[in-house]
Amino acid sequence: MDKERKTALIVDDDEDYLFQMEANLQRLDYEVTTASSVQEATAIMEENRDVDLVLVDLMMDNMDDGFVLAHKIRRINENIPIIMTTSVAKDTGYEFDSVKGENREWLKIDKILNKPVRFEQLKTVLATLK
Amino acid sequence: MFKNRICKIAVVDDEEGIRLGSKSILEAFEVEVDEDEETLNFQIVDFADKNSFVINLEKEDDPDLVLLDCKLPDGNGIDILDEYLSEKDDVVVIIITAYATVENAVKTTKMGAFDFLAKPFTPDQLRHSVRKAVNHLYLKRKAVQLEKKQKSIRFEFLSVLAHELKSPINAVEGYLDLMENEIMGDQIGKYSKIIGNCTDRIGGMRKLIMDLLDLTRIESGKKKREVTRIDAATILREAMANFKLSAEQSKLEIQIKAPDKLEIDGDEGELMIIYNNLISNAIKYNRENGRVTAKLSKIEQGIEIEVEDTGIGLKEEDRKRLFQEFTRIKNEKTRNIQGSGLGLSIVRKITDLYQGTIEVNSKYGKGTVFKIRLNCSSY
Repeated sequence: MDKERKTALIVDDDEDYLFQMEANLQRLDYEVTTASSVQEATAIMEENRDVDLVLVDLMMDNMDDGFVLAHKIRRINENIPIIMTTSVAKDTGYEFDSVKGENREWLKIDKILNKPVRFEQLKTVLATLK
Repeated sequence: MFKNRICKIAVVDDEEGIRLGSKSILEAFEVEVDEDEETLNFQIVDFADKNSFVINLEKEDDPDLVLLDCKLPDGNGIDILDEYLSEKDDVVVIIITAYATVENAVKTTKMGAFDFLAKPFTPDQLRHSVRKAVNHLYLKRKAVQLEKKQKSIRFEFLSVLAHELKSPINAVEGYLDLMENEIMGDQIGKYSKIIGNCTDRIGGMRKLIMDLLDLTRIESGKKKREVTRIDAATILREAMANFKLSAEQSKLEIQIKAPDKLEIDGDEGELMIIYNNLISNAIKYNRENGRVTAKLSKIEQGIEIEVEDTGIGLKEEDRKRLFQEFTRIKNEKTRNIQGSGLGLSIVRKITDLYQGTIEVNSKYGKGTVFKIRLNCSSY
């Protein structure tokens, strides 16, 4: 299917962060949809399976909402790139950096980014995902 | 504090009479140790020489208490104390000896022996000494437990605090990054929403720091209370006036029902903190075109402050958590409301200073009423 612009879904309960990532991704020529909860995001995904990119915050209303949502998204669309963002990587007890690629069997996430995510960083990561 | 409420005692003495005697006396003995008045029983293991005791010490769990004879066939009780027991903080040692000299008593006490029992001793002397040792051990263990608990509460508080401070910094940093990369073009006017958001987040952070200072000052008792004759009604009107603008922005009607003058003996700063927190909550958690009503009245024991809103209300399960530190009721209606999460826990601490009470009545979706009664002289 040919689409003119790529689409991205950003899921976060922080209004400021949604605003920032939306602006950044629009600048990178994405059409952006935002959601602030797991339910909202799941509904959007079920309606439009062909989203090109999902950015998911790890901690929303619950500690592990990001993981829960990532699982749900994987069930809807196995191949969609998922970037997980968090400001608490060190506090979760998960060794994000050492669990890479194929070894991350428990959940296939394409990239974990620490908040705040900078424009240049986002640009670089998206280039490597393509 | 003691496993299965049993205190394990090792009796180390080469005299069989002492071992059997202690065993029969102590196995029939009970001690009440704590405020629950639960009793503690004793289990006795006995050793006739140094060697068997030391081997057992390495093999099994430490006893709670050791009755240690000074003179053993294969060594000296004082050496055992020095070598094996003086480092163990959780074991209490009572020295038994037929050679009770002041010199020995001083020496063993220095090595950490708790008590000194001279042979021959009566059953009552033994029981008395053991009871003393057990109480000592109980208090010591309780203190250690308390310290651990306080440390973990402190750690939890600090990690939540760090998170709360980090999130506005992240937000502002993200906005600066947008501006630095001119994501929305090179016209400063395009960034006015962003600048406004930054100012809001920084304001929120300042509020958190101020609240934190209030809270720690009240908790540590370092905040000097200045109880003087003050007019609670005028202070209420001042507090309300400060929120006039934010009420207008949220299209809220504000009402004050208070006498012209209501003098009390109280601390003006404390009263202001109570008013500010209740009013700002009533504004934040309200609905558009809603109303905030603040009432002040004289009651028998002092004054009653009542702040009512027509806002989103509280669910029963959230109401219970309301006064805990950093509790911010998170749901779809409150997601975008900012706050330090410390306001109500400060209000509660101040109310406690007046031996007052707080009552919260709320209907989810309808509104909330906070009623605070302060005990003070009112005129």
